[in-house]
Amino acid sequence: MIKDFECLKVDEIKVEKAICPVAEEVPLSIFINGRHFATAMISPQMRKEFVAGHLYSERIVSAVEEIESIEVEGDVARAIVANPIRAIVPRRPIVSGCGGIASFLDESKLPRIKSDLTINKKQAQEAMKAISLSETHIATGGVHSVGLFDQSGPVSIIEDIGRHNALDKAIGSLIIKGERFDLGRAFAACTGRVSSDMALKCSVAGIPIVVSRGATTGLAITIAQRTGLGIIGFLRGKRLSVYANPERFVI
Amino acid sequence: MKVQEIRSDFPILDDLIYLDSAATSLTPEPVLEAVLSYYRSYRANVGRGVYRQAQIADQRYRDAHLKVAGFVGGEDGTAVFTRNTTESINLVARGLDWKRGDRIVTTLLEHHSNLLPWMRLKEVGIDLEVIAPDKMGRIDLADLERAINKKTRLVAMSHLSNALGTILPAREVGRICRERGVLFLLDAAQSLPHMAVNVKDIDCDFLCFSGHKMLGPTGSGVLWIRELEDGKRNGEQRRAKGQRMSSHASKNQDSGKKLGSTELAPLLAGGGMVEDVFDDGFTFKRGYEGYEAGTPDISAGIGLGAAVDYLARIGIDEVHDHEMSLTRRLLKGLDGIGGLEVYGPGADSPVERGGVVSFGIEGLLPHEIALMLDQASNICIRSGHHCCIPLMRHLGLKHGTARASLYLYNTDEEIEKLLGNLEQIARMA
Repeated sequence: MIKDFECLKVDEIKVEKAICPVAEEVPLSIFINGRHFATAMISPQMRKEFVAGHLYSERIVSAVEEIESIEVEGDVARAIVANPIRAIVPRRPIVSGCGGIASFLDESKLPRIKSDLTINKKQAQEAMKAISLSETHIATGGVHSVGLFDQSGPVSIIEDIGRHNALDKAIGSLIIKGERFDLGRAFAACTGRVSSDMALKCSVAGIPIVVSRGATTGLAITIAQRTGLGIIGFLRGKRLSVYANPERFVI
Repeated sequence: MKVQEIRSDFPILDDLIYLDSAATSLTPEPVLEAVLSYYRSYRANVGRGVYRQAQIADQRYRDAHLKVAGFVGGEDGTAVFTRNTTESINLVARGLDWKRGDRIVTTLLEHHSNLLPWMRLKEVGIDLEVIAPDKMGRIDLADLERAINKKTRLVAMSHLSNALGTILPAREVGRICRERGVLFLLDAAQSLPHMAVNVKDIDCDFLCFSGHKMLGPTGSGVLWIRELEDGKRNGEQRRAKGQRMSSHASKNQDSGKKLGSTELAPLLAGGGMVEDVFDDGFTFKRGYEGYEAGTPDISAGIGLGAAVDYLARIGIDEVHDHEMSLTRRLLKGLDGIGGLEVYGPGADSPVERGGVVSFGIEGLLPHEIALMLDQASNICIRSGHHCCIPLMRHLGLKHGTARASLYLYNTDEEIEKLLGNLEQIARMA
């Protein structure tokens, strides 16, 4: 995930040559049933999990059983999903990601999250602590970290150059495991902003709460109000802000 | 196992009692669906066409190979699709780098397809040692140990006798072969569809079986090849991958002579299997593609993948238990019919066996028994030599045997019906 590059370090006094660790970024073209669907810019690890999670959080499939096959060969991923010749109609992107991949989800057709999960301040803080221990982030300053947590602690923590990619990989890593994981019993923690696409992905995947160190957006809150997603932002030190569905947060 | 549910996937069973699955099995609806959907929705040739249908065909055909390899615990090896077990064995017989004086050990229990390809190699100076089984179809491991000498390159043996139903000690033979530095080919055509067969467990180098005996379409067979290890083993490099062959070597392949250092040369050369072609030779692709020259039976391959899915969903151990329970019932019933003799392990025999049961009735030819069962009750069984003429001669069964063989879709009621019919036939004989 990290590659060393030569760079010039410049400050007020001197200029010096140095070797700097930089986060890697690679393209991954996803073909669904033989058609190019999208090309994502992602961190190179866990490509298969990324594709599985992406298919799921973008509602290309509604259950992991609908994914017949995923093969990854270099920068190409090929997936076969139920009903192979069903045309994947290019949907208008409604939001854009910071790096990573645009979401094609249509916010006019939103699911209602079926879960009564709540979390408290301590859980939120511990989750944030756990995802902040990212070595890649400390070395490069160039990746986001997303974790999925259940009552007992972290179930998947992923780093990626893109927040959405990390969330897709975290979801993918859980759904392709043999034993079924109930995403309705998990909450997400994220080092980056909770924008509308993050809120949409959580809602579609059925994750009831997202916690972030960063801000959220107006559209994300609108979406969350419709789907029942709890959004907690600006979780820093002892402070946090609850933006949507406060009943999911136990004070 | 829910037999009635399974039977609803085999509508053909409404019209007959099928007890000839050792010859070829029936095909369940999901497999037919997989075959038809290839033709109906995405028919295209495989080998990296860029358009949508070709990509789907490609991926499903590739996936089928992976599923089949996974089914036998052979993810690290290569599953090559052939037409049948016969072709798989011939691929090994023709593809190994034989030297005059090399020796092959096999048994007299073998189906012709695991005997004739080796007999043919006598023409190029290969010695063939054939171990005789006892009346129950057992081979003595001491005989095998004795038969293997310094010149021995390969032991080729079946896992389950298609004539007597006896299960042979594949694991022990695998161990002996490994100790003695000899290649081991296991003909699992009769075992693999009915019981768990794992190449890690058995430690064979080549596993040959037929997709059409395990709910797959006809025209589907498999040769699984052990992955080569780094460095050398048995003083030889165990390569199944593409290496450059000169045109000279290719010509030699036709005459069955030494062929460079390639461990297993492809049976066919031509389209789809090459990595690169030069003026004077070519290199063939790594993996299964190098062995599947020309357009393969794509739908059969994809159908076989669906058959593996079907068996895996039910569970091969469940299938085995069901069949063994039917087999015990059948053997017990046959034991009580006067004038009927079971060939191979019978009702009270401790010898390990599968659901293939051979028998004869005094005063009747095997073909007559089969014909009577068909005419009286639409019961399908096999009769004759079962492609085992040397074995039949060895056992003194001039006209062969009548043979009932079971599978997951058979029921207790069908066994009862067979027994009832046989009782009557034996009484009349």
